[in-house]
Amino acid sequence: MLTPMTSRIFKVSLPLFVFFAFCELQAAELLTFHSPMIEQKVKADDISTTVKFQFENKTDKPVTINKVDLSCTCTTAKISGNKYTYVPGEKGFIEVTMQLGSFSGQVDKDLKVITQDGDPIRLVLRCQIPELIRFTPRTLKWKVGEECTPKKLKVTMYGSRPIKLEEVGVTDANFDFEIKTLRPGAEYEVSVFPKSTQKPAFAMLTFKSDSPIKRYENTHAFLNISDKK
Amino acid sequence: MLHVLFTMIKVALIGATLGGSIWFVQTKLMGHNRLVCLQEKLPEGKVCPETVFDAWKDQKVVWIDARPLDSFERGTVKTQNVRPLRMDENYQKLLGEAMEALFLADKIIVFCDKSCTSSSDIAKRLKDPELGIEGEIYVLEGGWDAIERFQERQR
Repeated sequence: MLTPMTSRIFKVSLPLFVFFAFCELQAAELLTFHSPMIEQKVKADDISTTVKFQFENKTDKPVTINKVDLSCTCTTAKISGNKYTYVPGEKGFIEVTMQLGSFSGQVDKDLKVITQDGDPIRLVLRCQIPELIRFTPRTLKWKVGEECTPKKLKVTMYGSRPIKLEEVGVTDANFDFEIKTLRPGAEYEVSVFPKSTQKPAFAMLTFKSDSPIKRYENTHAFLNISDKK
Repeated sequence: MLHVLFTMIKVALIGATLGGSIWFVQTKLMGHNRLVCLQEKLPEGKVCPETVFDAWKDQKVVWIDARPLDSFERGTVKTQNVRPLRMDENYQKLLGEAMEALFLADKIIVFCDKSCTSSSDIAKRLKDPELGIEGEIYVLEGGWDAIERFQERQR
């Protein structure tokens, strides 16, 4: 037997439970994507890459896509056949194209699919972009007052074809440098000599290569004389 | 009959009050658009605007604005030390332009807005030991919205 108090609590809590359960259902993601994250391996000389995020309306009501929010100006999205409303059981896809620009390594691009009702759906395009030219390290550092000893960085080319360094420069006359070719078109060593380390300084080593891929035509490494403790 | 009607009104009022409270706590206090940011509740690598503007006001802070170019041009953090750095085709160029300031910084705060999610990605890249940045790197909790709200309160 329920006491009057328990009965009252029950009377109040049951509709509340139903109310919140309803709200929760309303807020769910309404389109089911086969893979919310797609991993894409691209070639070093690719300019762009395109993937399709396949989805299905597994609810019992039509679902309308209001828009697709992109996190980068480098991506564009097209909805299959410019069709925005999907009846129950209907399938479609969102085609996403990413301009590879000057990216390298692993790059994640997010997009959000906003439906008329329901939560935004987050999709991720993960691109593995081969790094054709790598500096080790990318920055050479000295402390203020440190002896003006030369420091070295290695430039390694990872492409299937050789990439030659055509021009190397430095943005600050306080630094001199020498280049040694370890393996032509594949490996170089750059020694950098600061003329003075008496005050903080920053400069860039600029590299112009004969790479046919635009993003590897001009690359740079950094030089820093720091007074940080 | 009247009793049933009163009960229904009471239930609706309690439901609305509870729902409203949960919405307020979730969105305004705890969520992305929250009014209060609690530093101790944040995961490592995230920072509240209050911490940056108040607790770190005497430190060399560099802000990295990771929003799209048009948003950056419309307005950014009211400080000298803000640099744009976006995950687009200009990334390497912008990184080169920002590096001098990044080497000098004690703290580097990366932020984005609702439409962009690249602040964590940029923070991760800046933490690459090969780059040699010594300052601590954080992602701003709440992003550009939180900065705007904070600057609004300071007026």
